[in-house]
Amino acid sequence: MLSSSEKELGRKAEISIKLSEFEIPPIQDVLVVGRKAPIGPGAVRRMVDALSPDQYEIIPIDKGAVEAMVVRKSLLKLLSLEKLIDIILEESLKVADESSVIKAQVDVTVAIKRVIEL
Amino acid sequence: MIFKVKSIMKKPVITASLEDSVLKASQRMQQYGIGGLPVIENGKPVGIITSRDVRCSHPNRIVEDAMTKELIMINQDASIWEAYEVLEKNKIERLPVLENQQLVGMITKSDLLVELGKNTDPLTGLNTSGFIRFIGETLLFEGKEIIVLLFDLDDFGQFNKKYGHVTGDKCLKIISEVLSRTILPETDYLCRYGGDEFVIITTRMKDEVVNWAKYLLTSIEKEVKNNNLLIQVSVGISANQQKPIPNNEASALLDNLINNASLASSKAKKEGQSLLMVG
Repeated sequence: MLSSSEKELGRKAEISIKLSEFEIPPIQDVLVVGRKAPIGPGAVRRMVDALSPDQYEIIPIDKGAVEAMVVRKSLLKLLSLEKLIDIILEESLKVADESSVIKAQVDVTVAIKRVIEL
Repeated sequence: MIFKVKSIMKKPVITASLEDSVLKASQRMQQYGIGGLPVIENGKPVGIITSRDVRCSHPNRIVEDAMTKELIMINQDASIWEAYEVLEKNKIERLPVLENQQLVGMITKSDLLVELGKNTDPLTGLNTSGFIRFIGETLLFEGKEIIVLLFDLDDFGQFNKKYGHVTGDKCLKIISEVLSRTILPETDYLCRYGGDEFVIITTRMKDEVVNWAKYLLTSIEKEVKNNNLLIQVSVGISANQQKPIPNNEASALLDNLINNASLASSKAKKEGQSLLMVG
């Protein structure tokens, strides 16, 4: 009877590689950083300054589970910072805690109705 | 005698950078057996990371996101008493030490406690003569007008022989407690100077000091009477005129002041008085 080593004719490995485009920066529109998250606002600031200089604002949060929010500046042209922070904090705390880092994609559409004289 | 921070601070200083990982900072603390690292940016201290900060932070974080940003520091020429007061007031364990705004050393609470212990009288808990000398010379150098009061227990040796050393110790503790609760930290500095002597250096006005000294004597008399202790206390007072004194002359001047106060106390005793002021 043949041993397993005598039966073996060769060994192969199958490698799976998935390639996709790296997002610059990799945080989309908003990043919510928890107080005990693996990264803090200083590290995030360095990352966005290196990858997308002058495009993000770091907002420290005084109290609660969230330590800071990182917001894409272009969003603030459509929505005030205070309103944005309130909404994002409220929604992200439903899914996250102080050890989380949450990224958010935010689409803002401003609908305007006006009356003009014909 | 070691009285200034620079004499006991540890150097060179082991530091961390803002972009170091918390894990690296923790490993460095462990390597050197220390509990905190000042954080340096562009050669200047910008924070401190302690073992407590490390425990409260994720190890993946960088030091910038874990450190304590409110950095309390001290000048190397500060006294060990001042340094200890800063630590206690701010509830911290260590202080970076500066010279001309440059970080030159670190001092911890345990370093200070060792040195302070050498200047503390174990019986009464008061500072000893080293403290009063440091304070006196500093005030004279700053041009302050100081008055030295020396309280002397009359015939204390005989008192000890008659009533025993335990009773003698009790007497000393009672008197030290009376003096401690009567002095004001902003103007008065107290020490147990010798076996049966207490010295107060004060910056109170001359015309106030005699009445104050009488009040202290009355308070002591009342307390020792309440404890059935038959002991008398005399006080000698000597004053200097205000002018800045060069540092190398302050020591000699202080010697004279304390000596004069001591002689005044002895003279008061001989003349059947409890108080005498000279100068």
